[in-house]
Amino acid sequence: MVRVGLEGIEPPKLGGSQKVNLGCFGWTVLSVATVVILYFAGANGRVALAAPDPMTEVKNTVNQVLAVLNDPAYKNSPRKLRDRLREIVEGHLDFTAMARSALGPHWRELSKSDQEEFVNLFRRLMEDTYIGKAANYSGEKVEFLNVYNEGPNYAQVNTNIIQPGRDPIKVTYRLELKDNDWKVYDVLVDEISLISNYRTQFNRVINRDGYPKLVELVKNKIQQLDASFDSK
Amino acid sequence: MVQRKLRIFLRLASCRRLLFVPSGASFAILCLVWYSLTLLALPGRAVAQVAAANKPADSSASSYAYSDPLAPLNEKFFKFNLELDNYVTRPVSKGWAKVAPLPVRKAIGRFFDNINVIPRFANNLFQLKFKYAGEEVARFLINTTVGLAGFFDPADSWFGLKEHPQDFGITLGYYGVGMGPYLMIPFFGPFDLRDGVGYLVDGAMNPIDYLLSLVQVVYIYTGVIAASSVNYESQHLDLFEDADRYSVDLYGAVQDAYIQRRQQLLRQALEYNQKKTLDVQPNGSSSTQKDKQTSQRAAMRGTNF
Repeated sequence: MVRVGLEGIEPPKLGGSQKVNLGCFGWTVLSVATVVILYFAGANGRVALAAPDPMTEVKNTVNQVLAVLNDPAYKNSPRKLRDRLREIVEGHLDFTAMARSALGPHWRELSKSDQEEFVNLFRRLMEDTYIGKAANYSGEKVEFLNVYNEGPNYAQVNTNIIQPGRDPIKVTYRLELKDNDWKVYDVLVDEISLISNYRTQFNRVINRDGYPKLVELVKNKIQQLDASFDSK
Repeated sequence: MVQRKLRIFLRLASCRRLLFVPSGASFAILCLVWYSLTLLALPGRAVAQVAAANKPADSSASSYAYSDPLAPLNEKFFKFNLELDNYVTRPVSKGWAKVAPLPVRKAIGRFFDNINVIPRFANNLFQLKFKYAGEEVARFLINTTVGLAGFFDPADSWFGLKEHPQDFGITLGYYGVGMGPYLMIPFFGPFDLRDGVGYLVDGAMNPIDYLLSLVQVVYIYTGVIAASSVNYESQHLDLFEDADRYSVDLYGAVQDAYIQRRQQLLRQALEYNQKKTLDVQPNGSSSTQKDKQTSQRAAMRGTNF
């Protein structure tokens, strides 16, 4: 599958040609661009212009999250904040891929329904842990650094969280293109992969006490975190 | 992350003395032997190691976990270190954070960093990174004088000389030594065998070991390690307090964070050679990109099995 948008060919050229009042040069660019777009649209069976770009995707989502965090309406209700953030993040994170990766080889040992149950538990664990943590937000800024494309379907977006008076925290998002949509499947904080960290924990528990024990522990954790929301 | 800086109270000074003959001459010989060994190392080797370092860390396919045969013992020590942090280190760090403003604590952190120059210098040398080793010397000279005994870092802010973190554990990894089993040491925190040995060797490089009496050395180490740990924790209190929040199995979380961090440092040490060889090529940029992509794809496969 060829992703045109990634090379950034047509959007800048189209914009440029509209600005220059379509002189001779403009027409040439426009027609070339049209041919290119039509070619790829045909080859792809889909309009190539819609192909998203991972940096824009991350930027949009993070900026939406920051807007909510800066919104005084959510200041004193962590539960409301969590639910709002959940709505924003939903659809941008690939919880199935995360849960599968975090279980490692044990994923294949589970039945279909167990897998679905675990994805659900894992999603709630992530939401309660990290979205809940966002309630401590105190004006940090996010700097978007760069993006590495890993072939057509994988990308890595590097960002910094800037805290006043402290070293910036490096946050990296790993994304996969699925159904014409970039979805995050791992996050690295200071180069520590979150999913790898959970994989080590989960595999230790499974190897020692078996999968049911892991489910029990995760459920307890979610309950504990939910309780901390109520106490606030 | 949590236990990383729990290295307080004791340094195994006496053990070190048994392991390494306490004389400057033996250290010089050690340096020479190491240097001649590194000269023999084949140039292609480091490149092969980049690929090796990018493989998922020591993951035996069956268990998909790090090598941890001492887990039962390690878990006991881990609990001990947690209690120690709970009842001693954290309360003291909190108190310290109240007394001293952040800029002061950061300056003290820089001071401890500056006096620890010898392992950084020596290990950059062991890995034949002469430029980095020289920069470490320059940094030390500048920061000790202009930087007022190392409380400030003008070498970085005025001259753009960055610190190049190094230790003997990384040097061992650099020359192909595997990380061995995971260890949790009481008072000191997480190690793997390779880094534990490296830690002892780095300690043996400290000249005060050979200038002062054993008792004095133990006192000094105890003070320095306790003070720097407390100072470090006082700057990262939220992180230490939240550790439990983020994990289902705290022991595994600490283990994984420690090993990922160490592998990251090793990968950086190995990438130095890649950079150097690629700089020479006229079309270096495209092949750098390609190498970067290959290594990152390999790294991704590590997490996305």
